Amino acid sequence: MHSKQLVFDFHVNIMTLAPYQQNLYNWFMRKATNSAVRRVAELPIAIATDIGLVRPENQDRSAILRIQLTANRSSIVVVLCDGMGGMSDGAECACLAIATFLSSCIQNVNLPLQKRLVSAVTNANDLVFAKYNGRGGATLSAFIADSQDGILGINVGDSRIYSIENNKLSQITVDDTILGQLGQTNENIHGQNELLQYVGMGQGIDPHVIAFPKDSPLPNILLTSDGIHFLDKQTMELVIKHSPDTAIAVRRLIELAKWCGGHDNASGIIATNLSSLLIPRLNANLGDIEVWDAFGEVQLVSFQPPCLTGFKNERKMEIKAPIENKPKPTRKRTPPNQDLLHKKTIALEKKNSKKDEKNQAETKKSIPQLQIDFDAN
Amino acid sequence: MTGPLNVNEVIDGRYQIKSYIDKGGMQYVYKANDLILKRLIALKTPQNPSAEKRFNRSAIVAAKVNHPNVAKTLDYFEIDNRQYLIEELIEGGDLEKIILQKVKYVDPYLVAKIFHYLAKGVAASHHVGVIHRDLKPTNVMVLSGLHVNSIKITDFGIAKMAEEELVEAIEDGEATISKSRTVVGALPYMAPEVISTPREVSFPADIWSLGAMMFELLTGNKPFGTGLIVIHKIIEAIPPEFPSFITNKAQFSYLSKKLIELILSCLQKDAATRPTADQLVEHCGTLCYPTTERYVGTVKEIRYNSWGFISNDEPDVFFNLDSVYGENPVNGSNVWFSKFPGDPNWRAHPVVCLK
Repeated sequence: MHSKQLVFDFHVNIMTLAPYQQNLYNWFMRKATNSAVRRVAELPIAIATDIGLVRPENQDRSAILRIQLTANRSSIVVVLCDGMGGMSDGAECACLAIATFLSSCIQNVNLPLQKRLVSAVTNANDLVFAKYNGRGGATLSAFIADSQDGILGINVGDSRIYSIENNKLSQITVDDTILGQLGQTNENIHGQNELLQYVGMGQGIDPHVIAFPKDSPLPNILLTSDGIHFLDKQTMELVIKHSPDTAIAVRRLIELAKWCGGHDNASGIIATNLSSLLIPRLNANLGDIEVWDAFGEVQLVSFQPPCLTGFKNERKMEIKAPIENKPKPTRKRTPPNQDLLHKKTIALEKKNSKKDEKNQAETKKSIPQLQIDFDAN
Repeated sequence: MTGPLNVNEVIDGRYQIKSYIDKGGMQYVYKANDLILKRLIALKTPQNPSAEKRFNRSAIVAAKVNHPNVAKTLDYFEIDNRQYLIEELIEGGDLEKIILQKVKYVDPYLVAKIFHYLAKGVAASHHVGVIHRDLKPTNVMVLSGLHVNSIKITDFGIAKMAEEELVEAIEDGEATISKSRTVVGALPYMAPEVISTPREVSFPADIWSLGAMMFELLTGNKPFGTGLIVIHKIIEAIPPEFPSFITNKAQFSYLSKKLIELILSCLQKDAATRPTADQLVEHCGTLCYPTTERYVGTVKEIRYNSWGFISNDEPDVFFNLDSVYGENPVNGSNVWFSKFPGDPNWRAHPVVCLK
């Protein structure tokens, strides 16, 4: 828990987030297919999302951000937001929340982890509230793996972070619902699982900072929106246990959620081998900022790495040409494995697994969907 | 315009949309003209499928209540798979928007009046077996803005009949739909049993909510605070403390003490020991409060740190600082007051600073 004082001590001017925030928002708002699953470059992470069978649009947004600060330091952010359907503009709120959260993580990359995370949630909350006045919002579950500062998570709402150890799931977040806060899970009653807080509620938000288990080796991590985790926990464990790899596991969880009604959008991210996320990447371009979601990736390029600029020159940064006016780059999105999501036979999984590997290779070669050049004069 | 309807669109050949008013908890609200009865009404239609599920039933429940302090349900129908509820139009705004966003706290006279009116509305509802279950400032409509001519309870969206099973188990997977509602706004007014033992919720839950709202009006604070910690504080139900300014002026202390007593009786952890709505109406009936209109003005001058004048559109009004409830105004402060005949100037009492 954090005092309000703590939150506002390092509150940043949200206007300084504009260069990354606006572009990321536009990117998250792009049209996408109904479902996708992918592995994330060479990272041990798989990400998937699906619109479900009932909702007219997918209001979940999830992503992985990697910043290469120095040859010895990288920072990886994994985040999942679930826009609040039924309130105003659920998808827009989720996009605004996730884009602001990520841009704040970039902006404040040199802050200690806890301040970085709380500041990012505070900024996202402020911005969503400023636009929707509490009538729209999103949940947010995230963690940062920083090669210098370690791993720390944060949570607001009822999307979840689980640790996976020996094929057992342990929820390491507490749902911001009455049931969650009272530690009860046995009775699903109207009124008991409605949200007590969300990104965009404005005053009074109290994000939970999540310390990860310090076991050695570090546990695997699963992030889910409630479109997945309404499933029985033991069933989820069995699905994970019997999946040959993480991408298949997260895809199967989504398929199972759809077989059980598909009432809501479903999203999941599985990260394994967390220790490897803390090892600095060799041969990386300093200053590279990469973002992946289930549908594709984007690379934000700065001429100077964040550690040199400290991301404090944001006011001097200029986008050399508005994205809309730039000659449209060749668009080569890593194709989502949609067929994976629609075909139910295990035989196909193997085939698609190979396809995934091919996609990974393509990902490495792919031309970024959006390349923004910054002048750090 | 916002929502699915457009200006001048005629629904069911009878209700012509005049303007969009607002979004309620689960519905769009429009001002419309009833072309047959030639009167303005409020037309409501649900925002999403989860709202649709309760819309019909909430209309049936709300229609059972007929009282001047409850917004009257006039009609309900479905056309082209869309549901519509026709309700009495209340020109004004809710208690949150009209009062709580404009003043830090409300003087005991007006609190007593609002308490009395709301108790009557809740009693009428309980008489026909209806438990509102969601009483909070945004579900209380205020007529005529800061003049507060009348009060009406609205939004029976999650109301229930007492004889019904009081909770509904959620179908598998459907739980996720509930996120279209949040309890952020309702939590500070929730009774302990609503949080911890929802199967035991009955009429006393409305009485608790009423007490919690009156505490906030009188003190400017929510009785158990805000944020997640509220859940545990409400369950413990340790009686909240009242700030001293409520009782430290002779002009207000008698009525304030009576109100404190009543509010605390509503905030009893044991639902069985709370007064019934009828008892509340009876108690409120023994309170002495004026029903004079309220005005807004600006403090023109204060002399000797003792008295001064308020200017508004009419001749200046005299006031004494002893008539100020809560924080004292300074020159230029905007104030909210009632006034009574006097010579050479009318006299203001009470006086409350606007935010």
